[in-house]
Amino acid sequence: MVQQLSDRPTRIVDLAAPFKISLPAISKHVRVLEDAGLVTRQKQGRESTIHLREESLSQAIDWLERHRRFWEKSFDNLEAFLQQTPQKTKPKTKEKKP
Amino acid sequence: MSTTTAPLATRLEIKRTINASPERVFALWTEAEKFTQWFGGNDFVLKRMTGAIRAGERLVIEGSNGPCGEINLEISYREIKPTSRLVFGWRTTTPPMDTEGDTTVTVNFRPVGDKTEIHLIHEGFATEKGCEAHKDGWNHVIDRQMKVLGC
Repeated sequence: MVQQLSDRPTRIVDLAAPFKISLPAISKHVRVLEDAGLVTRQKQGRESTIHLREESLSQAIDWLERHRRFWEKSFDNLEAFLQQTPQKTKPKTKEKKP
Repeated sequence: MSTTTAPLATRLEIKRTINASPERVFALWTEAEKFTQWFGGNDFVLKRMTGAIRAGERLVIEGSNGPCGEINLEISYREIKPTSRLVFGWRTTTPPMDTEGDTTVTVNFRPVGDKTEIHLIHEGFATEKGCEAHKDGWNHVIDRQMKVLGC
């Protein structure tokens, strides 16, 4: 669906055509993308054409990738830091099981 | 003819299992002198940190990030539940990311045997300004949306 939208704006009925699901189901998918700000719906009479918001797509991807890299690297650092600072040995206490 | 638009919203989730107890891992997030030892991305260099890691208080982090230059960050602690949960606001105060507004980071710590599973959710990004596209990220957005639909 997104691949098709990246080529050109597409009517909902044409978006549904390649899939074996109903028009209302496709409409639900589109609604989720719409709520996320990634596509817009242009209504002309009874027909809706869906447009991909390429700028928003770039924003979302940039934000996600930048922060994902930041946190992944931070977690790597955290693990390395833990390995460099071994835990002080403490006597283990066993929990009583019911 | 009408066109509907919605604010852009994103959500980032990462799970990682760390070979240490929740007490030990949690301390790395909540004791400032330990936090500075690991926090940061690939080229991030911490220069200065002020404030405190306490609920209702803020931590101001000043650093640089390679070719991106200076990066200042404000972390506002909303919830600190020892060894299990941490919620904080996240705001970059240096351009161009200062336009991204406040986002929220929730970190849950769960014991898994002798280890700790960290589940981080970073969400709330909503802006009309952005940078260059990176195609891989799109799949994550779509996957999450399809999950919402139960696909």
